[in-house]
Amino acid sequence: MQALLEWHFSTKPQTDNAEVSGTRDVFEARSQKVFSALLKHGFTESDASLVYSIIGELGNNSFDHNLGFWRDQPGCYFSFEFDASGVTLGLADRGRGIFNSLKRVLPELQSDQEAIEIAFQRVISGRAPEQRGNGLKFVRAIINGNPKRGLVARSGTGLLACGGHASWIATTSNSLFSEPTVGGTIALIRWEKP
Amino acid sequence: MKIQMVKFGEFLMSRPAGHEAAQIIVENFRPASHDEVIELDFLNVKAIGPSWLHEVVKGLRGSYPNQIQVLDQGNASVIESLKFVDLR
Repeated sequence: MQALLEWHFSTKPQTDNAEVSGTRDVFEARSQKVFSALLKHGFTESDASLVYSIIGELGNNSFDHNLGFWRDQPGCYFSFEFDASGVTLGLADRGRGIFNSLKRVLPELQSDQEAIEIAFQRVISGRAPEQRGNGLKFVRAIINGNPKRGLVARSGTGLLACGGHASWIATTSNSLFSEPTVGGTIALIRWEKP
Repeated sequence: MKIQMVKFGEFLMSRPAGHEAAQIIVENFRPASHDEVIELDFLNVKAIGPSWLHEVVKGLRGSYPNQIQVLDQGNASVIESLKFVDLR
């Protein structure tokens, strides 16, 4: 995950990182590999299906909300690492961030923290007048309250954590909290085997 | 009328892909009457996302008043996505 964190938080312009999926099609082709990898590592088909669906929602959100607004390198950085007890997955972009996306439809929005909480907990679309915006709420619902799953997301200074393993992510990826604010959004997910 | 969703792919993700699937369904799978139930059958689909399903339902709703039913086939991602999509 270190490479993903460094790419996302770098203050230097990023242009040609090969790990970044520059288009939605490339991201989807890469993210589908996680499904068979999860089965190969002993996860159930049900878990593989849910992990893929939340990865898909998070990654596609990067493209839905940032086309035309990338700070430098366009696209979504996606990576995953297996260990004996589970898998850690990360997604990051260098886009405009949740606050700037939601501000258009919620002009009263005050902070990154308010924006990330609304994005993951309230049905609202950042692309008005389209009626949509359930993707991140879906992601939170799959993870929240489950002791074997965890999510930590950051956009600007806004932080959102849920699931029993959010603290595990905080411990292992301290730079997620300590790095200075940059544009874009990053999410780390921890999912352990049953 | 039953539509086999696996024919659109084993992984059904993203709004643009859902929008495209809806257009194909509307153009090619016309129900015989307004009383006919449209069944979306997810047999052999590996995973979907709620954004994809939302676009499909929205596309069908824009053309047909028919009742829409989802045959989840026990797929966890379909079951969870349905909690975020209004089929009415």
